[in-house]
Amino acid sequence: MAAYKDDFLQELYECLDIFNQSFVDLENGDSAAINEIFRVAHTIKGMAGFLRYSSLENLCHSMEEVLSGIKNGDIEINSELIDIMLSTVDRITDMVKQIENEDNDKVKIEDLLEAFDKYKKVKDVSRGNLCIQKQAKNNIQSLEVTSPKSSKDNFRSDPEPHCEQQTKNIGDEKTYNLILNVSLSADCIAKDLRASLIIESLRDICQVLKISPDEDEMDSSFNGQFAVFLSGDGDKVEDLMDRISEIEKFNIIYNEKAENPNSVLAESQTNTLEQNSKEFSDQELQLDEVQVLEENLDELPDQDLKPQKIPETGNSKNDSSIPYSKSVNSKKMSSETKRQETIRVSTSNLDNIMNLVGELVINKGRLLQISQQYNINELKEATGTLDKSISSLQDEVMRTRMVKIEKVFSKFPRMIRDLSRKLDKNIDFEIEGQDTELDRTILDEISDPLVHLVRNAVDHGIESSQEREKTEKGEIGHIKLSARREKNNVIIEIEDDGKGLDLELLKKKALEKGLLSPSEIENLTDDEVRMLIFASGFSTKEKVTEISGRGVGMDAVKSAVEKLGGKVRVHSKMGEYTRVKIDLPPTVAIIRSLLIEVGSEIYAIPISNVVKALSVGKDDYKLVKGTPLLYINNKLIPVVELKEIFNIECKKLDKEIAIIVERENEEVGLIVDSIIDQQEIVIKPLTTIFSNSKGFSGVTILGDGRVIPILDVSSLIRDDIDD
Amino acid sequence: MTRVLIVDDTAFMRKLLKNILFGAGFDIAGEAENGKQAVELYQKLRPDVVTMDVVMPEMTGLDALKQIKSVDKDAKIVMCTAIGQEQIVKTAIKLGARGYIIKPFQAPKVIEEIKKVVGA
Repeated sequence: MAAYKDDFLQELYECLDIFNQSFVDLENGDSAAINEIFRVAHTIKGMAGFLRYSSLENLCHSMEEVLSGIKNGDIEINSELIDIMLSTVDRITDMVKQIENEDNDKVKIEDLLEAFDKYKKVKDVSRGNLCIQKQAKNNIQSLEVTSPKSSKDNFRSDPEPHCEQQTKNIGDEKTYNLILNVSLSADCIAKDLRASLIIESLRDICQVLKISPDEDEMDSSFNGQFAVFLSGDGDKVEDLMDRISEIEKFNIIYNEKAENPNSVLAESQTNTLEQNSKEFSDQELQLDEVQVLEENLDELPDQDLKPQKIPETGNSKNDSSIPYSKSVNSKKMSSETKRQETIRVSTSNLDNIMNLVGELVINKGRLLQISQQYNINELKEATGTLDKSISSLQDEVMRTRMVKIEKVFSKFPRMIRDLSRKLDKNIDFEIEGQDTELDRTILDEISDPLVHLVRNAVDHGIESSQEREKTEKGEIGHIKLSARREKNNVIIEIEDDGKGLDLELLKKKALEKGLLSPSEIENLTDDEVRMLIFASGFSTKEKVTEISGRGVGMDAVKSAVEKLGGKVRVHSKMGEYTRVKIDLPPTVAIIRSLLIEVGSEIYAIPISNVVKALSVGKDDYKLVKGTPLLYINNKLIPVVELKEIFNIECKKLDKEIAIIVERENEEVGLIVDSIIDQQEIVIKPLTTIFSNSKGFSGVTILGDGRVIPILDVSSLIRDDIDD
Repeated sequence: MTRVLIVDDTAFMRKLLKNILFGAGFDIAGEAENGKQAVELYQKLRPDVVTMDVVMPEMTGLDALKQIKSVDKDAKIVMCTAIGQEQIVKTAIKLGARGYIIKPFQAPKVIEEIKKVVGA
């Protein structure tokens, strides 16, 4: 079973996501969500049972029972019950972690079981009333027909006249020619179900005239022994019985007088029949015992009943020997793989494949270079085809790594619910574009920043209910989380209709915290002021709350997004809205880059950072307070000389290239000698010794084997310009 | 070789059943994640027997059973359920389910049930 643990855990995490979403739906008045919650509780219970996580199984079972009560209308749902169930979901989450780390589900659940029990009792009481009513109704019916239904006891050992009458009635309507006695195997879990299955299957091939005990009386306490009076072909019944499992034994008694329409069962016969039934149930039916049974029948005063055939079935011992054979197994494996439409692959496998594709891309580059160098037509052709195949392979592998953003979005409804309760805010939360896909690595990395942004929207964005009531916006606040594809990138936006950013307050705080000088603040555009919220150590909230922390978050959000090669922007109008827009590349492992040359060195700059590239000469510069700035389209752009930063000794060219990149809404020109190429590069992370070096996000390997550093533009220019 | 269509909304359960049935020499005709898929796949694959989970999204096992039975009244369907769902299985039996297995099940029980149902 250990082999299933990973699948189990993966499935559990998916279940938890559905739980969280469904409870929010439920609270929002979607009563159908209860079915989904029920289904998930049921699913977890089923899986936990297999892996013997009994606490988890019990907890889910309890929850399922209460949910079933809600579905049936026996239990009324209220917010207390929802709270109990949400606590259950949290507890299940704890258990999942415990199972993952310690391989056991030892988490306290008694309090929750008790809480559920309280509701179950309510249900049982209402059920109890129902039973009493039902019974009373039956009594009335019995009185009307003056013949109470035969019970198990009646048939077996208490041959009261009413029983006779009942049996005679059968004879009157239609004569039975077979009596089938069945004893179910002891390990049969739901004997009433098995009996139902047998009876229904019998109905398909013959007429079922009477069942003893009555089908309605078979419940979970049913002992598994019953008799069916039939009119039909005995051979067919025998065949059928061979096709149903969990039957310990059965016998068929043939009623020879069946052809006679006047044939009825005499009291004495009924008696003997019961005796037989009893014998049948009391002992293992061996051949010599069949003999005894026959003798019993022979002693009947009236020789109506004779057992012509008493077939015996064992409980198919042969079937339990499963032919496990490795060679057979592997053969079947191939046929199965063909039919499967989806398979689960571990993410580490995908990462390995991605790495290998990365290597292929590097070697492809090398081959392309060689084929250009030697100018052999055949080689060019071959490398051209190879180039196409590898590009397609790369696309396909990328696609396998894509995950729907729903995976991250799905946790927010529950989060917003909890936060808004805690902060006593009334919030309507909307999600859009859940189907948008992102590379799994990006999705993992973006999850925490998104949590932070959403928390911020609830905590800092949306005003308290009282404050909102005073505005035209109404008491209910709105937060919208959306994702969409724009060209090649994925855009995620978090928008709230809260108080918006107060620019004056932001400036004041920036001054107080010493982040900027008064003159610098004067020169900032409104957009730049808004971007201050992403500055390190910035927080305008008077009180630090446990919800959105101490203002270290927004800075972290920005660096996380930039690390992924993305951009973050904030738009806002005071008193109306705040919208944070995140622009992410679809993948991180392979990126398009400009390869640039400075002196004899080559660097890669991710295209996502580049606004434009221009050829510049001496005339394009203006000296401002002794500092040379690029003057392009009536705009002054600060420059960073890569030669100076990297201490590359070479002379300054007459014509150079300015790579214009963005830095917090401000353009900066990176001055390089030339652009060599634009190509896809595979990012290799910097290893421990180099991991602290500033200005580089990794390295890549070119086709000719050269190792090229990839510039981390934002940190590079931040450090230089700030200096 | 007996061809089985496995219907369950959890990959975990499908894998478990698949492995059990494989080992016993059954051929897995296909897998469905919900009732709707089950009906579609049944018509496409015409398996010898279906193991049908009861509680599933989109379309329950019971509804799928009804639909499959309406296109093939001889369809052999084994309900796959957990304790607590007996009433639904009873209804399923009345609607023509030919067997049932109760979770957590043991491999021999599953194999016996399927073998009996297909008459192997």
